[in-house]
Amino acid sequence: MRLIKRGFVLVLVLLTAVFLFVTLRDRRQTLSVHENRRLAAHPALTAQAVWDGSYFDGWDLYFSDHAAWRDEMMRDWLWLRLNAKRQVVVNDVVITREALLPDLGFVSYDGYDYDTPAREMAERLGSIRDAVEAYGGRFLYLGVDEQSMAFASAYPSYLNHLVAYYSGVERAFRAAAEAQGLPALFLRDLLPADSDPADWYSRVDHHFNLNGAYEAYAALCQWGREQGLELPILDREALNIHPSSSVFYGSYSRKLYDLSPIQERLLLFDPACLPAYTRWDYGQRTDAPLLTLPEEGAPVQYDAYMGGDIAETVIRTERPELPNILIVGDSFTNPVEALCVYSFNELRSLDFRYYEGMTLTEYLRDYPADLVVVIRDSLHYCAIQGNGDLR
Amino acid sequence: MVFSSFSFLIVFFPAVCLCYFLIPRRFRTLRNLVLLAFSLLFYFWGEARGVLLMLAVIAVSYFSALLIERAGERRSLRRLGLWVELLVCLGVLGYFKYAGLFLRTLNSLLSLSVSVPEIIMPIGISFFTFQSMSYVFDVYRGKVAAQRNPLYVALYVSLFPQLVAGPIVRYETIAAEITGRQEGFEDVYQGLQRFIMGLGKKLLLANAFGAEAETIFAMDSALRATPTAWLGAFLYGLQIYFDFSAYSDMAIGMGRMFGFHFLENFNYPYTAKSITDFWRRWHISLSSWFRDYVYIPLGGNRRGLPRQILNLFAVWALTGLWHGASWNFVLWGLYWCVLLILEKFLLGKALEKLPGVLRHAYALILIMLGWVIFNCTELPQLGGYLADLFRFRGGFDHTLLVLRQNVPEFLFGAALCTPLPLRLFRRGADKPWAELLRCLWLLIVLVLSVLALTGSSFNAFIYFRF
Repeated sequence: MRLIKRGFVLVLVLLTAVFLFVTLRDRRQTLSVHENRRLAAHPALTAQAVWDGSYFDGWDLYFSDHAAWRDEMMRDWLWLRLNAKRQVVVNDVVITREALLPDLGFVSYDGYDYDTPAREMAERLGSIRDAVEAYGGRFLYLGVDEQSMAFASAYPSYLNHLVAYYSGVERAFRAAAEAQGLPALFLRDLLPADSDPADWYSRVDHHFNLNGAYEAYAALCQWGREQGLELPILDREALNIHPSSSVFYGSYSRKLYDLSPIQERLLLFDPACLPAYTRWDYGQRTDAPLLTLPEEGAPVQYDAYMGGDIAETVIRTERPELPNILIVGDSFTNPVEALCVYSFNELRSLDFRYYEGMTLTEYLRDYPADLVVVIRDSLHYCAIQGNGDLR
Repeated sequence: MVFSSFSFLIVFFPAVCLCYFLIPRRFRTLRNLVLLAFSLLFYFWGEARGVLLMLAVIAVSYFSALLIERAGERRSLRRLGLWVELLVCLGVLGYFKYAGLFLRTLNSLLSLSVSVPEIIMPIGISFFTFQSMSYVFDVYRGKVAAQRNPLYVALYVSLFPQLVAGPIVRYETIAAEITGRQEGFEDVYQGLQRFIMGLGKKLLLANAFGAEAETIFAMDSALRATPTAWLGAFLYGLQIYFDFSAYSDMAIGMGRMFGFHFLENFNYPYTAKSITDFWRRWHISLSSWFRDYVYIPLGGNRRGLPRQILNLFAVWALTGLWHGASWNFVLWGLYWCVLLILEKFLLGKALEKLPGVLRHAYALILIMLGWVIFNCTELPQLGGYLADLFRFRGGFDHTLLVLRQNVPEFLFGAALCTPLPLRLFRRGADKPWAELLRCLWLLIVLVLSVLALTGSSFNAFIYFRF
């Protein structure tokens, strides 16, 4: 009996010692791919930090982020939740047969005033349109469904409360845009009504897939042509759309630590179909390709397109006979931008979540593009913060 | 720093144990100094600014107790010592915990615009002031002798296992153990077992129930069906029990490792068959504190019925207020008061005639309603939630989702609300195979707890935050 008790205490002591040793020794990992964030660093020791408690809070966070075998333990815990407990919602991801979807929460918008924010957004966009048309350019608003809206019917009924809200937002925004006379296209209207959303949208990520992006690209180019811009449109066949060899870490499957019940490959294109170009990111000349693939076997992420979200990108193809385009939006624009390189002389893209140099109207004064396209997803039609703050 | 954190589990606690147990037992003073130093560090880690306040309270308690003892038969001096202690402890508590509530209420009632200062409440203030007061009270009543060594008073008040979440340990409980305890291997072994059980209750049950309860309480009332609202009340009841009793388990376990024997704080409160029974089983250290230091000194039931009812109201309003600086806590205290008075004078006999199952259901439903009052700190929120409980709006989808998401938690949770698992756990106490099974079971609980702790640190971003 005494031996068992001593053995138990000894096991605990050894486990703690080994755990502490590995935690303190293994400092190589600074990023968490699955969580898409930088892990906590050592807190800085200052008198102020000690006094206000942030120094010790920092250590709590540090040990939490750098605990030995953290990724492995996270995966094991997730495995238990998925397989032993068979949970439907895991790490904020709703697991359905059709797709991995975000957990939208339980907020009711009964009696919500959809019209006022919609009108405000439409008025802002109307001002941008006026500024563009004043110098002879064309303005287009391109609305695309966010993945959770494309797969809205896949949600269990008790987890889709915000779907009604976003539908209300869209209805109000469409009406306000029409009242404002905004040239606007909505991707959903352009896709076959009875098609499978998985044809156009990722099942494991909140974006559209390359097929959806191609439809958005083709639609904006076609609209440009109808407005008198002479531009070539890349043929779908020439793109040679094909799946990546390695698995796609989408914004939702990534959270499931390689245990996602839905595995998907990122759709890629053949960059050889695009013309030669020179590129600047954040004002700096760069050789970054339009399609960046990870090392063989490593998971591929959505930032394969254009290298991810960048505040300002400029791409010149030195074909002055073609028009110039400015694309404003967020990560939904990334694959569209890559395809637009084919159709335009100069491409500029702005992401106002990160870009702080000028307002959009100031930018247009310096770079009056022939075609200005604002691409927004359905969760942000009326959001005037971040990159919806267009002035 | 909370017990269920990696910084505590792999750094702080091993460091305390190492420093403490490396010192031979005969150097008792040195061992006590190690405990005191780590207790102050523990508090400093969580509340650097609060340490000076706590030390000041300890100093006042030390000198007040000495003054009372040395005053001998001089009643005025003895009273002076007691009043100084009361004024300082209640003053500190009043300023740091209740000044904001008082001023906000004053502004609201009298339409004033007195600026409400942003006072940061030191953690554990309710516990260390109550422990300090109980020490001085007991010296005043002659139940214990004043401690001559100020470091030992400091150790008693600041002892880290019970410093921030109780139980409220009375000085008389551990007075002898401060200098004369004989901690051995069996204490370490039993203490570790109790600690792991507490850790498991916190990380595997309380946190799971808490996450679901939080969602339901935060839901818009328009989306909260009646079954969901009741489920939320029960989930919160389970969360608060497993959370609080887990901290008590861990505190009792760690205390035991260092040779202290703290009294039990919970006795399966959800097996109660009346509200009176519930309050004999729930947060025993607090209810007995109020009984011994407020209710009885006020006259208890010795001065007639009206005075007894008045005393009960005072005690329960204070009990409610002790839990938080918000009026819903007072309401919560008075809710219990009314129920206890009803049971004592009207329902008691009738309840006893009911079958056990009905008595149990009666108690559980009222207890869970109490937790709704406790958890809704804004009165409109409380009104909305109570309305959802009784508006009979259908919809079982969310209820079924929560039940499906947490099957093991509900099964283990329900079982652990009763004494059966512990009886099972202690079966064959003297058999080696039973001991081995117990150890294996605890190791499984520990591993699962660490996995859950790691899982709780998941914090994903949609957009890059590198």
